[in-house]
Amino acid sequence: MLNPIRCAAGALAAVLSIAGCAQVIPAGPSAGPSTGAAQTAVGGEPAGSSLSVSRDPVYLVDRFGERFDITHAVEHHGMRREWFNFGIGKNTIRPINRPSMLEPGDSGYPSTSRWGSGPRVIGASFNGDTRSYPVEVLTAHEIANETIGNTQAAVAY
Amino acid sequence: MYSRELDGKPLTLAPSGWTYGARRGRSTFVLYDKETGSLWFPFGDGKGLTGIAGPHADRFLPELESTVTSWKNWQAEHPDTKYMDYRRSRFR
Repeated sequence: MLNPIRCAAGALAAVLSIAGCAQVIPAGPSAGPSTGAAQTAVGGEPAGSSLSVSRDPVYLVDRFGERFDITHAVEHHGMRREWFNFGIGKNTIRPINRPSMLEPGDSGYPSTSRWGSGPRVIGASFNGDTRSYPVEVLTAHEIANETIGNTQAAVAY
Repeated sequence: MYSRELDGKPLTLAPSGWTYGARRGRSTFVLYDKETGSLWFPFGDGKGLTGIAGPHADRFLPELESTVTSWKNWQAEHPDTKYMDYRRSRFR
């Protein structure tokens, strides 16, 4: 799939990302329809613009072959292609959505008397709604999509 | 903890499977939102999530006030606190 000639032609992309050809895919004219939108979105430059130096999109390709266009991250946020790692797939670590909550008195609600200090938690309170999340669980799932009071919160550790 | 509200609508954030950082051992997860596929990253100086790619590039989700402490301390200060029920929560 990787064409060495195309990689050589994508010199600017290589300079920007300081990366080898592996996983840096310059989009060619034959790119599929899904890349068309990405090309026009980059820097507001339409694909095939009259600029003498074309700026090839920079992509991440994960283990499932899914592509992420990170051209904006590289060009506008100074992020480096080679500092992106793993690419284990976007459904591999599952977030927690609208977690179920135990209230005081519920079966399973943690007691303090027997546990010592108990688990480490992340706690927050908005509009009188007070919630806590064990750090250990958030470490495994990375993020919980939550509504606390009227506040839409992403709980992360 | 970050706000996940943008233009009055909630975003659903999830790990992208990519981490970012100079060293693998100290890298940080890159998130994406399921609504647009935009990538989000918590730059150290921003105190929030910055859109780094996709339709929400350059948008910002600010950090929300939260506390990391022991259950004992949190529960003592907030006797009415709820606690996440891991077993009954949904994973998507």
